[in-house]
Amino acid sequence: MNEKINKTENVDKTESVLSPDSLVVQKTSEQVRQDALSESEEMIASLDQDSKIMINDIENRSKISNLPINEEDKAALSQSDDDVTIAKNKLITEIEAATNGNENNLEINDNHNNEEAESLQQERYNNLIGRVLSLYNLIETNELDSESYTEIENLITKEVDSNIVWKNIDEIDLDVVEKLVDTVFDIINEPSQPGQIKEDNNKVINIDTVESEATNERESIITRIRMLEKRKKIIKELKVTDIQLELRIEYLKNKIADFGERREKEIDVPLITEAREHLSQVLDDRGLMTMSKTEYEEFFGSTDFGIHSDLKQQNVGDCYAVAAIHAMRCSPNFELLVRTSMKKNKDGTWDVKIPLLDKNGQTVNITPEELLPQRNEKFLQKKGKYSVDLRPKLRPAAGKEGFLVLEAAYIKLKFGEVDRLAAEGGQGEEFLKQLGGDSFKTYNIISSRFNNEGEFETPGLKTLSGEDGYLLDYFLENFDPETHMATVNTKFFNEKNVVASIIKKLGFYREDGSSNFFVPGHAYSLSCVDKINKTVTVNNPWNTTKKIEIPFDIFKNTFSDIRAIRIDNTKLLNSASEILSQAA
Amino acid sequence: MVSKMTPIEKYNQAWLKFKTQIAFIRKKRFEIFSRILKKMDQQELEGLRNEIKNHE
Repeated sequence: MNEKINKTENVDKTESVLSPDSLVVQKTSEQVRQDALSESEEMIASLDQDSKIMINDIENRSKISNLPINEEDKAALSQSDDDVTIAKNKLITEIEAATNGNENNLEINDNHNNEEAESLQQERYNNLIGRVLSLYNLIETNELDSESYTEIENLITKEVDSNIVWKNIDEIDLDVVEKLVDTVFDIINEPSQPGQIKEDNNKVINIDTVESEATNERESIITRIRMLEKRKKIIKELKVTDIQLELRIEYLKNKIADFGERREKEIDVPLITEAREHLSQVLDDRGLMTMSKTEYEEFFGSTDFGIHSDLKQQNVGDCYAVAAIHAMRCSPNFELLVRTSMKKNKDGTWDVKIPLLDKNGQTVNITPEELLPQRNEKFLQKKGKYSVDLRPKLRPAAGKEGFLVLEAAYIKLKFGEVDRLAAEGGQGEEFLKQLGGDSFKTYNIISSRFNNEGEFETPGLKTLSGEDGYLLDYFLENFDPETHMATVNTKFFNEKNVVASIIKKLGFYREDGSSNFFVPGHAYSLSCVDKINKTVTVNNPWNTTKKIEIPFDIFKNTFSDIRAIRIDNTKLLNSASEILSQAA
Repeated sequence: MVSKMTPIEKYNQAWLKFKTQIAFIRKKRFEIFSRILKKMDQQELEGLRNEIKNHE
């Protein structure tokens, strides 16, 4: 075969030819032969490679989604493999035939006598070949939509004999071919651009749009399914039976009643003040107070000239308790409450009747030792994820003795002993409610909650709307130390984002427009509300003597919860009267 | 007058023929792939729709 090739080479050493990529280059016949063979190999390899990637993807998806591939499609793929082999064999056969020079059907009679006509015909043919080649390029680069492909394919198979293009120039009806090529070009140029498809009504649609619509549809379906699953789960959990519906109605009724009660106007404040002063006087005169005025001033400090004694939270995490004690201290009822219920014995121990001012209260005995710093059982033990407890001793709040007794009495009543470690973390209104009993009613306005992902979040009081929003404004506009005792909690920051993480590490934060820094996840006492200037005064339990006055909007931005109680003054005064009647 | 195609023309002709065939095979193959994927999409969507129906 090599000899034959050499022979051919001798016949036409070099020739100007149209290469597959339409460029006119000088090549020997052997080069053209080799190129055809090697490029065919490359073409088949590239096709196989592309197919392999797609088949892998399809098989993976088939496995994951458990969707079997149709037998018909499998057969079509296998047929396609056969087609490649057939095409390859045909190419080899034809090249061999050309090399051997035994291709008889290429030998034809030339009927053209006119040389000029022949050259024109040749030129026309060459042009045509050029156009056909650019058609191949277009088809091969796959820039056509499937509709155009089918159309072209039909035209070629239906209108022309499939071999016509490859016959000798003299056998070809160039008019037919030219018409065909024109039509094919029309098809290619006329419809849509690559990446577009044509609908039945000839409207051109961008594939990107269709794809994004499909993706959106798919996502919305998935979201909907998740939502439905969640709903189903909730319904399952709630099991809304008739009984539960009744309970719900009952709960709503209570809530409405509670709401109504909260809006209820307090008895005239001067009247309460007068009644309390009168009662205190009578109790004092009859020696029914457990603590004298002098002792009261000794253990709690004088409030004369509006100066409140020092009270500072130390290294125990009971900010809520210290804040609540400070909130109580700000109440005009404080003196009556502690003087009727607290007593220092001669041995230095204390008797505290809890609830305060309740004749049926439980007496809690506090020894002087219980007011001293305690050894920390968890010293140097791991605290949280990355820190260690570095407090060798747990110190009670710093301040007058009476406050320390109240703190210790609360802890002892709740935990059975003055376990300061156990008392870490809590809510101010719990403290107040325990000390005040039935005379104190919980009045919470809370924005903190668990979100849909189950994470705890503290969006702030400003986010409250509806009934809660109304109650918040009502609370601020009607706050009266005579009626309310309140602690307020700052926002809590988990390390969800960079800002939160920095705030957590710094240990303080500031909301927009505020000149004060606040400690996150901390309880403050609310000591005063200025309704005219619309400001709130809060005190940090770390140093209760320092007042922090902030406008309403910054208050709502900074704090997430109001943990308060509302004093039932009638009940409180009745309790005091009962002490009198009991003595009588 | 008798004219004969040169070997280069013949090679070229065979090559172009082959190239055309492969282009069509490639196109057909992609159509098969996209058909398979389209079917899978439809089946998956059908499954999702059934799931929604069951939930409702």
